[in-house]
Amino acid sequence: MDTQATVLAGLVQRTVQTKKSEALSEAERRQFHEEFEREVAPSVERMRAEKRKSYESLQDIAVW
Amino acid sequence: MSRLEARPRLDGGDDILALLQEHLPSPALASGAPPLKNVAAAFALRGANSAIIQKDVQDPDFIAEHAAYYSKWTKPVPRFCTRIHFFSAESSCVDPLALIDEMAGRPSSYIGFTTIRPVAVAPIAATIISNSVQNVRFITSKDVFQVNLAGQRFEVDGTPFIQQDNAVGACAQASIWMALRTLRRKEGRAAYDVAKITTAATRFVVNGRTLPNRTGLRFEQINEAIRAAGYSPHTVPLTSREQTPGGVQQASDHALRQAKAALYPYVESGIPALLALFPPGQGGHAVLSIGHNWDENPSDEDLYEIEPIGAIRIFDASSWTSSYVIHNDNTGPYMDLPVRGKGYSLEHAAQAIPFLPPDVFVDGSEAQLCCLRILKDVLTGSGTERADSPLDLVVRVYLQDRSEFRSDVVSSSMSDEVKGYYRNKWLPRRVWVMEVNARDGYGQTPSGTTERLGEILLDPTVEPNEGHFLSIHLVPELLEASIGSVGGAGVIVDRDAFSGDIRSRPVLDEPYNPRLRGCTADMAE
Repeated sequence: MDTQATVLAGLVQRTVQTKKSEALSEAERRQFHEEFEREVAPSVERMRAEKRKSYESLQDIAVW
Repeated sequence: MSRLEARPRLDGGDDILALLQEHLPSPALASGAPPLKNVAAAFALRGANSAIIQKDVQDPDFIAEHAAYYSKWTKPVPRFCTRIHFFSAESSCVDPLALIDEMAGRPSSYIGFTTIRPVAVAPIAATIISNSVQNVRFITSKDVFQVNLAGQRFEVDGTPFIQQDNAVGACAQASIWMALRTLRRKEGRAAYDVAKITTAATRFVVNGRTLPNRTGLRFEQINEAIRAAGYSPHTVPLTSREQTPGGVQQASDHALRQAKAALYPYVESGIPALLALFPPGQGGHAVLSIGHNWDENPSDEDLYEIEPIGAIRIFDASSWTSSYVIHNDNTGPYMDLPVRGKGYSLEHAAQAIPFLPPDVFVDGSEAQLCCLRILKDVLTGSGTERADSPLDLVVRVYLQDRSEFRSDVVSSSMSDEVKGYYRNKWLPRRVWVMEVNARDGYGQTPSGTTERLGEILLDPTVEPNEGHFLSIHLVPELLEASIGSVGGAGVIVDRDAFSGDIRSRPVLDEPYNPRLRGCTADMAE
C-alpha cells in the first residue's frame, strides 16, 4: 500500500536504510506534533468526558 | 509478668485461629468474623509454625483511634493492643527471648504480625503479612517493613492491612490507610492514622455524624482525604451495568475486559487503587487493589484486543491477568477479586481511585493512547507496510521511577548500546513505559523468557495531546515484521526533553526480556 509516509515513519525508514543517525527538521517536528494533536486530542477529550461523567454520577454516593 | 509469651509450636490454621481468639477482648467473637479467620488462614498458608505474643503494645494507630473515640466511652477501653508475630520455623524454646533470638538467626522465617485491638466488633488492627504464597501471583503494591522485637530486628515484605472499626473509620478510611501505609517510604508522604483520615475527609463536606462514622464516606470526601495526604485523586471509570434481556443488570464481557485493562497500568505500576464496589442488593463498599494473579493461557474470551496496527494484532497485557488481588477490610488480606462472581467481583466495581503522585499529569489510559499512536505512526506510516505480519504484539503500560527503570535496564538482556543510551539519557523523575512484547510465549513472562521487542517512554508531566515522547526503541524483528527488511538494524528515536529535537539512530540488537515483576512464587528453574 503506497501512502504518504508519516514524519516518524519517514525518519525510521531513512535511518534503517542509511544506517546513519538522522534528525527531523524543525518543520518536520512541527508537522509531527500538529498531526499528533489532531489525531489524539478527540480521544483524550472523550476519555476525560467519560471520567467527569463517572465522577458526577457517583460523587454523592457513600461507601461503608 | 512478662510482656512477651512464646508459642514454639503451632498446629495449623485452627491452632492459629484459636491463638488469635484467645486474645480477643470478648469471647462473643469466638466464632471468628471473616477478617479474623482470613488473617489466621493467611498465616497458616505461609506456614506459620511458631509465634510470639507481645502484650501492651503502643500501636500508634489505635492510640489515635482511642483518643478520638474510645476514650470517651463510659466503659473503660484499654489504650494498648496485643500483637502476635509469626514465624515459619518451629522452635523448642518456651522462653520468648530465646525463641526471638533463635528466629533472629533465621530471618527468612519471619512472616509478619497482626495487632489485636481491645475492641470486640473489630479486632484486627495494623497487620502486615508476608506476600509469599505458593501460586503465581504478583503483589505489586507492597514494601519491606522493619519490625523490632525485644532488641532483634526482622523484616516483612508485604502490604499493610487493617479492619475498619465502623466507628472511627469505615471501609474507605481503612482502604486509604492501607494505601498510605504502603506508599509512605517510597513516596515520602504522610501515612495518616484512621482518625486523621476521617478528619481530613470530613473537613469541608459532612454527610452525617463523623464520630462514630456509621455513614461511611462519599466520593468527594474520599478524594479530599487522598488530596490532603499529598496524592492526586483521580477517577477511573470501570463498569456500568446494562439491562440484559432477562431483566438482570450486569456488565458485558467486553465491558469487563475494558475495566480490567483500565485498572491494569496502575496495578503494574505498584500504585494501589481504591475500588468502589456496588454488589446487587448491598450498599457501596471500598477495597484496595494491590496486585494480580496470572493466567498463562487466557481464553479467547479473556483476550482484550486493541485496534490493530496494519496487519499486526495488538493485545493488552491485562488479558493475562486472571483476577486482581485486593485487601478487603471486611473480609481479609490478599483476597482474589474475580471478574465475575457471587461475592465481591470486578463486575461490581464502578470506579477506581488510584493514589497517583501529584507530579503525574498523564493518566494510564492517556499514556497508552499516546504510546500506541506513536507506535502506529512508526510501524504503519511508512507507506510500505506489509499486508501480513508474522507477529502479534502485547503492550504493557506502567509508571516507573527513573532509577528503577535504569536499574531494570542494567539487569536486563538489552544490548550494551541500548543500555548505554538509557543510562545516559536525561529522564524526568518518573516515566510511563509502554513495553512492546511478542504475543507468542507471553504467558511465560513470570519466568522471564518472553521476547520484548521494544518500548516507548512518555513524559508524565506533559499534555498527552502534544506527543512529547522521550524515546522509542524497536528491535529489528519488529521493524521487519511491519515495514519489511531493515538489514538487521533496530532503531532508537530520541526526543530531547528540553529542546524538543528528535533524532534517530540505528542499533544492532535483538529481543530481550520484559521487566520482571516481583513474583511471589518460587519459579521452578
